[in-house]
Amino acid sequence: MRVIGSVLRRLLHTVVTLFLVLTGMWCLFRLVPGDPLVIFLGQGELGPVELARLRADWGLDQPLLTQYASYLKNFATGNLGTSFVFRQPVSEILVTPLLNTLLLMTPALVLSIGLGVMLGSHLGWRRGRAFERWGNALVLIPRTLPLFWLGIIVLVVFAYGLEWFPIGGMRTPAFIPETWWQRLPGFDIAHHLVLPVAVAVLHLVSDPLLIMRTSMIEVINEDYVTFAHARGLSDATVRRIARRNALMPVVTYSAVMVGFAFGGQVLLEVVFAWPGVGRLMVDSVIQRDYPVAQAAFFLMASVIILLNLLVDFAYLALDPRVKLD
Amino acid sequence: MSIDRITVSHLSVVYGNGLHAVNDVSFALADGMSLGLVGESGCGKSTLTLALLGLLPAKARIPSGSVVIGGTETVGIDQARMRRMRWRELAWVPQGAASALSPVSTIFSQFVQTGRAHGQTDVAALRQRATQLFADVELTPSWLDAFPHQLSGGMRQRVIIALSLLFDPKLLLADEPTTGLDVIVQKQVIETLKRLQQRHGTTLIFVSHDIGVVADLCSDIAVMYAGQIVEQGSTADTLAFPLHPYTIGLRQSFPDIRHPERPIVSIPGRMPALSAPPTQCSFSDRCPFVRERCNAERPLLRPVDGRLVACHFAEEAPAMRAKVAEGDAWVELEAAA
Amino acid sequence: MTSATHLMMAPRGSRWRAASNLLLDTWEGRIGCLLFGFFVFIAVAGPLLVGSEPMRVHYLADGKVARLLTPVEFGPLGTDYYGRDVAAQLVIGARTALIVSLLSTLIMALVGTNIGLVAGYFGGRIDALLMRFTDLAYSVPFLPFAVILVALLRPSLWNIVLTISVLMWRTTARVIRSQVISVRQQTFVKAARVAGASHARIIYHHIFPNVLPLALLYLAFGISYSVLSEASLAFLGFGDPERMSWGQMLYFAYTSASIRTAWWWTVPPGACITLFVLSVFLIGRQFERYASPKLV
Repeated sequence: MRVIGSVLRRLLHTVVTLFLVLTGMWCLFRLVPGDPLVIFLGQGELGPVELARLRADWGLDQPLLTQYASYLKNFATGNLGTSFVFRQPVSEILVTPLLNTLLLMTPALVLSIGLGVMLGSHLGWRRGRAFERWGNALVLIPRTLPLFWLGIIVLVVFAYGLEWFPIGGMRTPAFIPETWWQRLPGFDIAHHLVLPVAVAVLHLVSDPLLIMRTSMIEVINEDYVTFAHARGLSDATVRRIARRNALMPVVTYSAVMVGFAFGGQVLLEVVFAWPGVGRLMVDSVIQRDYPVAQAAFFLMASVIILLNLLVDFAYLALDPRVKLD
Repeated sequence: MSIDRITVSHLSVVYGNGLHAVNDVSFALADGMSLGLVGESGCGKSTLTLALLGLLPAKARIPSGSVVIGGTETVGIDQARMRRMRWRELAWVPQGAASALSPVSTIFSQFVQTGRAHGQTDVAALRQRATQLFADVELTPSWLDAFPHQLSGGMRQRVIIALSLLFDPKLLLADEPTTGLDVIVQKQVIETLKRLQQRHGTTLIFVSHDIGVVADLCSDIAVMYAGQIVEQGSTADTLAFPLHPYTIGLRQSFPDIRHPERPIVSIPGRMPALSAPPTQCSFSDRCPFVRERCNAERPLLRPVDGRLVACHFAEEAPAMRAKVAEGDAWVELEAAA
Repeated sequence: MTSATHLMMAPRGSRWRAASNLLLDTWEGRIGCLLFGFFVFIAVAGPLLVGSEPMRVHYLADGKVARLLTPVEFGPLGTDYYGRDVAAQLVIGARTALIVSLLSTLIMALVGTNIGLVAGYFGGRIDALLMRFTDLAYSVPFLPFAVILVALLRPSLWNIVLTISVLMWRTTARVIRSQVISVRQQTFVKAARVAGASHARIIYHHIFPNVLPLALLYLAFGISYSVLSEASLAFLGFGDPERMSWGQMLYFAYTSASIRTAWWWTVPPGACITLFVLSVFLIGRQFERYASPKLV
């Protein structure tokens, strides 16, 4: 059936993209001037014999093409190498930070898209004058503020200053709940989540909001909205029809948004000392732990590519006019 | 004595930028009557329709006049009451109906939506009704589950017509519903509308620039020019013996199959777009029979020969008709310009 | 035709006047220009006014390092944890911001616009290839990639500029391509083909002026985006160690655990970034007014 053919084609496209990203990364890391081993270990720490042995261990003495082949094979089988710093398989190191990142990103994305759509459709529906101008201006402020600075300010005010929230990290070491709400399961983590998620939402919400608003304004002038009124449908129903039609550009945008969100995620994890995969990547880059850096980066890119695929399918499901190519 | 289905009294509509789109329009229709509203583009017939439906855009307002539908005044009515009246008392087939359906839902779901808005929640009954309505407009019922974009423009127009008849409305406003349809489908649509009138006594306001269709379908006709009604009366009489110079010219601009030798007239010039209520006859600068009084005083609709005409010199209509039939009335006017 | 196209087609002299009208018509545009002008002024003249030694360590009378002096004790903006003049750093930061943003944006505009023009005009396989390339660029998260690239290449101003441009062209390319596709359908393009104009001439002489307003708009976005990117990279520790930038000031503030107390050090750099981005954004909005007026 045509549907299956189209689905398969998109899957193939995704696989090709992943492959290209992998190759690109491999080339990139080969760009490093000098011997990766020497760079990592510094000057004169190990003798030439030791170096030769490590080089053989890590397969760095093989011809380039062989290295490339085994690199691909490793990634395909889930072998992401061994960390230079932790001396552990990278795949093990990545699991927990990945989950921690998702713990922060998911509510941030869901909330910002949800809020953005709701507020944007409201702004577009009631195109009143004063409210709209101020609304637009207000929404843009978090967008022009550098995310990490916003995070610092929020930290200083709400964590250091008012002491309503913890200063950073994901958990309080040796946390002893005192009040009844502190005894609720997951409270400690949730308490740590509030500030970073709030900052993330502030930063991310303006794009879906503005897109939804613009889309709504265009949709309202469409004939089918007038005709819906004419049929005696309630205001709420007409608004729902308008919203449903106005949603498409936001769906398209959400694919791009995830990529954008990852960048912010890295900064948030550093500012709030959140033990996620973004912070891990930055640390490992600074420490020249290339296997970890590489794998962390690839993980992020894969999440984006896979989410893009999902959004493609969502778009297909939501808009009946889209023809399967 | 039949109850007036709709009474419009001295209705005016003004747009925010000062454009007087509708000027002092009045007419009344009893149950079962059908009024053809004809006029060229921009004469205000669509605006009038929107005003009657209570769907004027925000930038338009009704400074004066009243519209009484089924005994209820609708100008200034609160939206909740108006909504209750919609579709049962008052239905609409919009112009350019092709884009009147939401593209993301199936056609039947939009029927259900309309039903539900008026308390009809039995989906099976709705489907039966929809199928029957589709048959009336010569559409296969399987299209009910399709999306609007899958149908051609003409098919979508028929869907809208079917949808408008969902509750056998007492008053139906159809704005150019047969435009763009081929003659065979056009005939079917006209037949459906006629049947509706016979069976349910539906009052029909049929907006069109196609006098031929109006002649077939409507018992009465109202000719609009520059936001006003210039002539109104029974279709047969008005088309046979038009009283207003504009109507005379209009009739002459359609070829008559019985008199192929009769010259076809085109009225030169343009309809004025009024930025203030008129103080003179709006047709005066295009009228070959214009006299001083036309430029000084605006003619009001008055009864002549059992019809209503807005012309100071309607009594001289027979002479005017003869002049136009010769074919040079407007040619002379153009030469003089 | 949009009003901006009218602008492009106006004779040379009045073009300047028309452009300044475009920018100074609204209060938004005026504030934007004022702010941007202010930053240019600081970048150029600042060091003369405030001191040009952002890296110089100051000492107290007793020989200790003059750490974290408040603006009252050391004007005009106090010192940082390492005894350096905050105001001098701020001023050099303006210079860095301007250099990085203008250079990156220039490269991004050249690359992105041309790719968009070529892909949109030729269509077919060239378009497919170029767009596949662009899609790939979209799959990669900007900041993580930039981090890796800058770390691999050693953090220096030029490498940062290169890194930012390497990914930033993707948005411009995509948007310009869409615009070109709709412009190329128009009759005047076909007329030019029939008249025998070469591809290059059609692209640059006929099509380009029509996409110029959009290109300018994305130029403005590019400037904001590159300043924010440079600041983020610097904050993470990948800034050019020989050039102070606003982001790098915040890096030092954060890593020396001074954010709790030294507000004179923490607030100004962030405020400068915000105001700079805001000014460019406001100017960009003026371009948008002419590119698509009904939505603004």
